[in-house]
Amino acid sequence: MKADDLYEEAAAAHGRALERLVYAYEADPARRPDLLQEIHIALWRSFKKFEDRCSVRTWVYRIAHNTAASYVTRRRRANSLVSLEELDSISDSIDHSRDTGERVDTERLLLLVHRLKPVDRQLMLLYLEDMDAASIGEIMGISANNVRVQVHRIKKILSRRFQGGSQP
Amino acid sequence: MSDPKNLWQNLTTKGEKMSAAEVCAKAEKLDAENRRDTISGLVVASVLTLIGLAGLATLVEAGTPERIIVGIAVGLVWFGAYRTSVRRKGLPTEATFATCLEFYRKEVERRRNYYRAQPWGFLVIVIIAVFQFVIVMRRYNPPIQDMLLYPVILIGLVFAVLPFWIRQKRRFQREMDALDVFEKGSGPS
Repeated sequence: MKADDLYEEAAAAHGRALERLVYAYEADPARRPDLLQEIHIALWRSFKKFEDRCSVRTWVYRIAHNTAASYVTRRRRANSLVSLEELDSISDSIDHSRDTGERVDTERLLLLVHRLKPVDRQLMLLYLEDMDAASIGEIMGISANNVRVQVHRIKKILSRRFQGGSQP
Repeated sequence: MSDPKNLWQNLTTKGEKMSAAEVCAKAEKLDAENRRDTISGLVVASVLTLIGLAGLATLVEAGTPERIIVGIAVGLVWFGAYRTSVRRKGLPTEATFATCLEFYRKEVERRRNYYRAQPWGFLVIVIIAVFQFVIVMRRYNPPIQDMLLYPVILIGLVFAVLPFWIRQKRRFQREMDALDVFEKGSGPS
C-alpha cells in the first residue's frame, strides 16, 4: 500500500485519538492546532519508512507520542512536570464545591494528565484509550508486566480522585 | 463521579480531518520556512564573518595576539551559526525508529549532555577574556579601573549563569535515573 493511502487510512481510524492526545499534551487551545499539524506531518512522513514490523496502530501512537514528547521538552515547561508517584501526593486545583458535573471532571482529568512527565503521561493516555498491557508495552518499549504495575498505580490515583471524590 | 476512561473517550474535540495532499502541502511549507530560516541565519553569520575577516586584513596596527583574538571571535560566530542551523538534528525523523521510551531517553540524554558540556565552553570564554585583558594591559597600559570592568562583567556573568547549567544538568540526570526505574517497573507502588 502507498504511504499516502496508509496515512489516510491511519488518520481516519485514529484521528480522534490523536486529537485527544493533543489535548493531553497542550493545555493552550490556541496552540493545539500547531501540535496536531506537527503530529500529522510526522505521521505522513513516517509512513514512507513503515515496514510492517508492527501494527499501524502501534506505529501511529509511537510517532504521535514521540512528536508530542519532543514538543513538551522543547516548550521548557518540563520543570513543573511530575511522575506518577509524585502525582499521587499533589492535590487538584479545581474547586469541587462549585460544580460536580462531567465538564469539571473532564477538566480535572486534563489537569491531572497535563502535570505528568511525557513517559508517565503516555502510559496514562494509553490506559485511558482502553489499550491492553501488551499493546501499551509494544508502543512504549517496556514489558507487559511492567505496564501492569504502572497501570495499577494509575488506577489507584484515578480511583482516589474520581470514584472517591476526596482530595488527598 | 464519572469513569475516567469514559470521560477521556468522550472528550469533545473539533474532529479535524486532513488529507494526505493537505499534509504534504503543509510539510512542504514548513520545510521551506526551515530552509529560509537556516539560509538567512547562515547568511547573517557569514556576513559578520566576512566583516571580521576584512577588519583583520585591514587592521594594519594590530599585532599577532590581537589578530588571534579577532580570528577566534570570528570563527566562533560562524561555527555557532553553523552548529545551530545546518548541523541541527531533526527529531521527528528519529521518532520513526525508536519506541517511545527509547526516544524519550535519547531526548533527555541529549539535553543532559548539552548542559554537561556547556560549562567547559564557559571556561573557554573566561580564558579568552583573561588573554585579552593581559594583551591590552601590556600593549596599551590603560588605567586599571577602565580595564577591569570588561573581564569582571564577563566572569560575573559566567558565574551567575553557571548554577543554572549545573541545576539543569542534575535535573536531566535525575530524569534519566527515573526512566531507568520506570523501565524496570521497580518504583514504589
